[in-house]
Amino acid sequence: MSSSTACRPATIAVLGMPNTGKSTLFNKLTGSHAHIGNWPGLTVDLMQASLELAGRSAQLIDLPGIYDLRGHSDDEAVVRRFLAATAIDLVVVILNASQLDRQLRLALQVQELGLPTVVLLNMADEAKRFGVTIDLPALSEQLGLPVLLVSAKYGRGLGEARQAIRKALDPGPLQPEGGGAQASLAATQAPGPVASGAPSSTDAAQSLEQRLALVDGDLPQRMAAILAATVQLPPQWRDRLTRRLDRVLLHPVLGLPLFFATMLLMFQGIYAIGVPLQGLLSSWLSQFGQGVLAPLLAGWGLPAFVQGFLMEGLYQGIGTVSAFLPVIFLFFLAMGVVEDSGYLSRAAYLMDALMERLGLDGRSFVLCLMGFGCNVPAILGTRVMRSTGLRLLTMLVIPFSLCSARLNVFLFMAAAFFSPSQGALVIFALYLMSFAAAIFTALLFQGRFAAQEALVLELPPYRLPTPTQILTRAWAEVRHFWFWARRFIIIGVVAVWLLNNLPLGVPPASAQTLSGQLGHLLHPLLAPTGIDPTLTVALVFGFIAKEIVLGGLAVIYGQADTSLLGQAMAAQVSWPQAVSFMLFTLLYVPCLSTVAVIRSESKRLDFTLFTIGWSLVLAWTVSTVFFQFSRLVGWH
Amino acid sequence: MATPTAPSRQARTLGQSQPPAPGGPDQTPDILLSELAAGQSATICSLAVEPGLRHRLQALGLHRGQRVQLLRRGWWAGPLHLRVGMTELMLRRVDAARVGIDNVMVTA
Ligand SMILES: Nc1nc2c(ncn2[C@@H]2O[C@H](COP(=O)(O)OP(=O)(O)OP(=O)(O)O)[C@@H](O)[C@H]2O)c(=O)[nH]1
Ligand SMILES: [Mg+2]
Repeated sequence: MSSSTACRPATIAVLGMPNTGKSTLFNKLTGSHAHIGNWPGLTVDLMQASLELAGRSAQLIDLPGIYDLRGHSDDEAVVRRFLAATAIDLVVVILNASQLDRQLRLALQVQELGLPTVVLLNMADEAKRFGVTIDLPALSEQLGLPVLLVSAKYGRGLGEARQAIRKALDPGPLQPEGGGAQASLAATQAPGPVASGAPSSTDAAQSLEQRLALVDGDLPQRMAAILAATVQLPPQWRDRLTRRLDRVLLHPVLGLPLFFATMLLMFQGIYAIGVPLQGLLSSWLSQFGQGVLAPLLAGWGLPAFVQGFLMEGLYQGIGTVSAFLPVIFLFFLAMGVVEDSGYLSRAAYLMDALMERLGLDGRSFVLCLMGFGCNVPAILGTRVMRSTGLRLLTMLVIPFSLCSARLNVFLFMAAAFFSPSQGALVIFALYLMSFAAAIFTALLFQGRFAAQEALVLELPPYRLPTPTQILTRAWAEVRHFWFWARRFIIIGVVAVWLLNNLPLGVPPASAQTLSGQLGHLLHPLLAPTGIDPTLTVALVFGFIAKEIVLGGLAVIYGQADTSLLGQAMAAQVSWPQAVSFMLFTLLYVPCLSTVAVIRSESKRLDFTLFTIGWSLVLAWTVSTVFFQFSRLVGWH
Repeated sequence: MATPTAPSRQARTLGQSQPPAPGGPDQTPDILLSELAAGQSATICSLAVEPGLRHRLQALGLHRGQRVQLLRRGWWAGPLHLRVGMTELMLRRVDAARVGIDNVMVTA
């Protein structure tokens, strides 16, 4: 309401099939950082940002992709509910210009909504490259809607698009009197006065269903007629790059080995560049702390307890975790390239045969890969699945994906206990373990969640992200990590430090402290895993977030420089104990946020508790088996 | 789906025995999409699937009268890689067995 004009901000919805560039356009128009990727179904929730259009302010809403206005998967239901319950002033329909031959369908369906609409044909660059020509004026006339050709990724045609949107927002002579351009689904069909409250969404959705069923009959003919008159497809498929790449990457024998080799290479690269950077940063931070901060604090004459709290607690805990920011940045640079390349859909194709036998499908595998970044969006991503059984089983296995927060813990511990070349192998083995845990879990429980869902998935052309795209993405992840994780880290680190130093007067980190007592309380349970009482405290707090584990270790062993911390730890912990600790950390509950999102997505408390219980059982068993085996073989 | 618990290996016969799709006089198809060989193309003549899946398939360009080309078949009885108009997609064999085709041609 802060705009200079009298009217409230207009509500503009961005609607289109999955993977047509809605989020890209949304970001370009509003300067937001919605997640973009060459994978149909990346956006699964509403995102809103404001937009200033020549004196008219508006709210632009990025919607999940929708194949059909009658779609029934949970991500499509988000769109349907939104359409039914919101007063929308304008719909911006995004179609992939090079796939107009099938996507025009959605534009015809949207026409049935009876709302002011602007049609944007995105990916003009690809349409041109693939030899698709479109007669824009003719198409616009046939549809009775403004139609523009744009390229959101490269920012072409966006000025014109803004103008067209602005123009369509103006209550022109075509609009009904009174209500201006505003209309909602219910309002357009219900004669008589419009109720001021939101219309009953089920009613509206139902009548939309009926109207769509009505047009469905002649929709194919209409569509064919329009296409014949306005769109020219190339006589031959022109995307030679995609065809050549697919011949190799989807090869029946070489495809999978190549995929895993690519992944391995990627992680090796992150390891080779990220670990030295992290070491450098952490020793720099530690020197700064000891050389500058500690004397400063001492100079203020603060009590020793407070000094210790600030230095050994807060500063070391946060410093240790911050040193991993470059690794996070690198990691998400690589993730960004993979996600935007189109290789994820190919991974789904390659893995589907195996996944099918596990009661999952290719999409489950891709979501597990996304889980390597963070488990939370991966679990949200299961909304594209319609079958409840498949969704639950996928949610059960995603938490075993070794996320970037856990990666930090493992990078640190691998560096502390192993030589660099061994360390890389240990990390790789943990990734394998992560897959193995997921596969084993699916095998074990597929009978309980059995589900059959047809799988049709688009294999989009290979694309190369722009440097800005992936840099923005990686930067957004680092910011997110920093702002979001910092809260948890501060709370966790402070708690660990207090537990380690209270009650007053006992030697820090000794058995008499609170943490010592907690460790000894849990010792009977964890003794078979080889995880000692000191490490137990870190595990307990790791339940909240894995970032705390690392910060907690720094506090427990009183070192911020990770190489010194590693030495301090290695003096007290044997390497099989360390590996057992890593296995436990990999497999048990990833973090509270993941638990919360499993709860909200599954809408089932019993299932949520089951995922927690199962991950604890598996973590304990694997750690115990490993540790007892190592004792038997005499690795100690 | 008449029998959602039916193991996937039986899907072929299941697809054939299903009643024709509403909205069109489908005959029992002679050839199924799942039988197409790599490099061949054909015209879709029937879709014996439940409405939800039919909408999804239509949105991806798979409808009666449409030409499809099979690019490759996945390993270990994996999915089919198809081209439909300007779109490429993957479809499981089980599901492809519900799609009837005719006019099979070799496109190289
Ligand atoms: N060549 C080209 N690629 C584009 C263009 N706009 C977007 N893309 C790419 O298309 C892919 C999908 O973009 P998104 O913005 O995530 O698509 P979306 O419609 O939000 O997808 P969902 O959230 O899955 O529905 C990404 O790889 C983008 O980089 C464009 O104008 N040209
Ligand atoms: Mg999106």
